[in-house]
Amino acid sequence: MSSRMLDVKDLAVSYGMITAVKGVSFNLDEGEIVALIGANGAGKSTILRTISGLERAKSGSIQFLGKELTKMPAHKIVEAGIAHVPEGRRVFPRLTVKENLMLGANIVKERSIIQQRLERTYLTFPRLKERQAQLAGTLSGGEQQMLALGRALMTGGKLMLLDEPSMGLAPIIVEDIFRIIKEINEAGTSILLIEQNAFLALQTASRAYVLETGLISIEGKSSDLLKDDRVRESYLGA
Amino acid sequence: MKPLIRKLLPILGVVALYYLIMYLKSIKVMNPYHIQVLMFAGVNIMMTISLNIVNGFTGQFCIGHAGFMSLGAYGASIVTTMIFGGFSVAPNLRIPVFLLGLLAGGLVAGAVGLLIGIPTLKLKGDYLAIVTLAFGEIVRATLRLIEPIGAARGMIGIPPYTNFAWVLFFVVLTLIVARNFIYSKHGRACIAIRDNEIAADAMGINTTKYKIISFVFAAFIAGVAGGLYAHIMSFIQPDTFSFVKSSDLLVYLYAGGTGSLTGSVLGGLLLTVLPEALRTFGNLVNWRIVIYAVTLVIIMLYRPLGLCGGKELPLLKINRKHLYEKSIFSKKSVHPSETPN
Repeated sequence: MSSRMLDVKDLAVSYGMITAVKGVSFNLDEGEIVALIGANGAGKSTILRTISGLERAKSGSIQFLGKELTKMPAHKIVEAGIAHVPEGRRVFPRLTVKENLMLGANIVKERSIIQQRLERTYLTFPRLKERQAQLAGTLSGGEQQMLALGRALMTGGKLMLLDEPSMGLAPIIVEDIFRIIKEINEAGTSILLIEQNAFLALQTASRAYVLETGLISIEGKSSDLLKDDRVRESYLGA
Repeated sequence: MKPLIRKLLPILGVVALYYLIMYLKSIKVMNPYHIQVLMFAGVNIMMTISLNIVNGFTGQFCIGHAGFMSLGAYGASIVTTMIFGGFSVAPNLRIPVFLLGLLAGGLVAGAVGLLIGIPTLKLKGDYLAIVTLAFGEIVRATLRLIEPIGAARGMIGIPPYTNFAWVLFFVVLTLIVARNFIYSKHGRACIAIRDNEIAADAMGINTTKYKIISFVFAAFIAGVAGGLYAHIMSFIQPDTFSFVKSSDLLVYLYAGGTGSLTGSVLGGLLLTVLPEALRTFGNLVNWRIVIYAVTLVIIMLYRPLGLCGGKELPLLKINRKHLYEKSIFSKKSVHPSETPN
């Protein structure tokens, strides 16, 4: 039995008058890949952004390794061990690949640890090593996604939040990225994954939650959801 | 040896520049008026660098920078003129008093920068622009009301301690400190905030902290520049530091190019010297402001990012090569030029 890592209870988030997330509960155990799937506007990104402190919860709680995150500022949450890979990659275009990676380790002081993480990141992404002196803005979309993942690895987080890692990428590159995501998970990082491509998400994750306009409608093992008629009809197009 | 020479070369260049100008002055090619224009250019360069740190490198938008300049000017002048009695200071104490004044000016501006930075920089977006705009005008309006420092009439009798050597010294010092700041871990965090604040947040960068650091740092430089300015003019008046001054500084910054120290130097220098130079062209005198404006339009049309937007002289860059020369894996060298592919 693995232990509970993330426990979200009755989370509600609103943007002004509009409630984007209306009381969502889910959890994630250490070592797991869990997916949140759902259509545009279902509130998936909002949930991730609230976990990493970029949005404030209206009510509910987020427990991460026993710590309450809802009142913590974003940079403290990273220190607590959560690495967020934001939607659309958001690398720093006018810094080099290596400088981008070094920013991921901004919270770390010891040079030896930074060096160690850099080695690990370059082992996972040999392509980033090849391009380390290049400006991040000149990378291809797939490489930028790798850089965003690598940068998150550099924070040394125990839980990685991935927001639409397949967005805007060619199918062959998406396959690559998801293989690497699995590798990162096997190396010991838990992953909370948001993905519009439900089929891909269910293939990667062990469990999944289906989100519909701010509420969780279906949850279960990925293998069960792949067979679930409602899921097949709405999200898998079968 | 080579790196040592490379480090000394710019300093030798500055010294050479100083003696060249002094020589030109001694053979009467340059008169005291020319030198004074160059000193104003120096002050404007410092102000532009200061503004560049906030607007160009951290991606915030400060439009009341003259406010910090006036706080520095008044802060420094109060120390040198009112506390130490201006012209009655013993000659051998003049330089320490002057430096103390500049430090006081910088600290006053920095402290006020911290005071208005803390509440506004927490917010994302354009709030800083609105607050700094108001701040500049509040400083001006308040200074106009304080009788002991001359109120709206201004402050007179400030000893003209600032000479060309001091201006040159402080411009070079500002450049060195700004360059080292920008290429440090802290500077990198500021650039990350400029490029993408959300991603910076998600990377564990305390965005508020770094925004405040860069804002206070910039305010300090502006304060010192204001102190230098007061001791060139011998006379300061609240209305000198109005919104017009702030917008002039923005023009220097954007014409020179944001995110580039080279651009700040070029923008501050050219746009201070140009309107003065146009005075000497007989019939054109009445047209000089028009020519100045047209020049700006042409610069922005042909160099929309400013004269050196995002580009830097090698001198003002930290050589980033060392980052890539260190061997990451024990055996292989990872310098990019040696990697196959």
